[in-house]
Amino acid sequence: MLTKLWLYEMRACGRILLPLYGALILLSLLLGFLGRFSNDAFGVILPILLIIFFGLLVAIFFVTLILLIQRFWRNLLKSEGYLMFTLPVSAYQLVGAKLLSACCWFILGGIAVSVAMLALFLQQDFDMVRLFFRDFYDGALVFIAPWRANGATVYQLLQFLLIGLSNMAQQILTLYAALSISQIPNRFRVPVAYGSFLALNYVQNFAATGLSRAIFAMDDVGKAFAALVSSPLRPFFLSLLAPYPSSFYNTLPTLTPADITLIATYLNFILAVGLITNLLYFLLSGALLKNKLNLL
Amino acid sequence: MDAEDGILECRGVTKHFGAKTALVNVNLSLPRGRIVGLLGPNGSGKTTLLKLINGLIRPSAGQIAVNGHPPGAESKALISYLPDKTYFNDWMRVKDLLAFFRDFYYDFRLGVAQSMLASLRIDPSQRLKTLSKGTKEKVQLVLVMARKAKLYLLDEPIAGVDPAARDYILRTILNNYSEDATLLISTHLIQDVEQIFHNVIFLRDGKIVLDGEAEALRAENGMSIDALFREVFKC
Repeated sequence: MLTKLWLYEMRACGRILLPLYGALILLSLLLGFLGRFSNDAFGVILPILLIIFFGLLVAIFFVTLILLIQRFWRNLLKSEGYLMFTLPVSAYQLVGAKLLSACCWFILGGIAVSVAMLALFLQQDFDMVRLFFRDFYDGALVFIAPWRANGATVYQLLQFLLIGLSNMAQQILTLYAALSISQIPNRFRVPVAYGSFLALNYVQNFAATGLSRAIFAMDDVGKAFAALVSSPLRPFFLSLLAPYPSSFYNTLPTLTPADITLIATYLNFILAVGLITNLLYFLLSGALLKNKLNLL
Repeated sequence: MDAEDGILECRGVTKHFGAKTALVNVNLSLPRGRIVGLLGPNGSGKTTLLKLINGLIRPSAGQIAVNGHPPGAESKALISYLPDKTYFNDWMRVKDLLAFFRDFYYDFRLGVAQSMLASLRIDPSQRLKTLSKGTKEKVQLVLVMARKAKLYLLDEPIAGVDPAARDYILRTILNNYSEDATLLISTHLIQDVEQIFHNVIFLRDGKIVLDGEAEALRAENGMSIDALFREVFKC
């Protein structure tokens, strides 16, 4: 049943998002193609196409965001809820299907934008693209090498990705929890939804701050984390932001196996807290829609 | 509650909306294989009761059990519900909705639905948002009656359609429900449907004021259910 719900959810969003992705990629191909000719012939049209291109980028982001809210609000909490909540499925399955679909569309959106960018650049200047990929590949190798050399497993490298995914799910679930709270009262649902979202975020930040303070207050753990922050790893983390791969060379060799273990533990902890928070939000939304459903 | 008791049991069901009380201590037991009229003027609590049975709202007090299950995934598999509002989205076609029902309800009979749509001259390739209000109601009724459910809950099934379609719908309801299923039909248009009721329940201000067999009530009071309704609910 979850799979069926998820597939319907994917279809409902796909009919809006896929044409946008298609338009973006087509436009990027066209832009790249036109860009290879001299500017004279397409002097007027090129900037206009570029504006449309960037407009589409922004549109994809905001439409995905609006769909995230609308698919929950309208499909579950307004009149369409009369159909969805009389299906022989649990409230948890309904929330789960929405969550899976939303995560998929955020990821697919990222892929579509990347493909469009590539399509644009690939035609623009082949050498530039080749260099870009070479640098990217070299950079990735350089980034990974000391980790591997110091005994980091593939999982430890994947931790960054997992934390990113968990954070994305957390944003979505916070929204779902706020919307599930907002349907309890008979009136003022929109302000309640806004208020709950802000309140949940506040509690979340408060708890996160409190938690990290508590951790640093513990002697050995505090020392370990303090060591992590003040260790040679600090420039390494900063270097992630550096635009040129060469900067990795300067900072990475200082990484030790002990550092790797420390980072892995720290990241595991962040991931675990994130996943537990996600689970709590999921259970909260499901339980509210199960026990406190109030379709008007 | 014992599943053998009946298909639907309501015990002391009360529902408040803020300061307003919609249902007060409703006790109800529906046997299997009956067509029951849920009758009452506007605002008497008919829709509230049907929504409670479907789990779309929660009672302030009391218990509801459908075939022994509280409102939930198990009870919903047994109930075929026609709400008083249309629940269509604006992007599906009629045939998409048929596929949706076939996917989620194991008791959905696609062939029955298709032939009912054909009799009502509704093109399955039409988009839901282009349908008129009456046609939407017909499509919803087709979806509901094409299921082989244990309990049908129909909230004002004939209120929004023309008299010709009304006859077809009543015939559809009678022809498509199985003998062991129970139909609970809420309506205030009693004259058109009273001949099909085995039992009737009168609801006033959220309270059951009358609950009995239609034939016995007619004999006892020497009048039709419609006339009895007019007398009980005289303004």
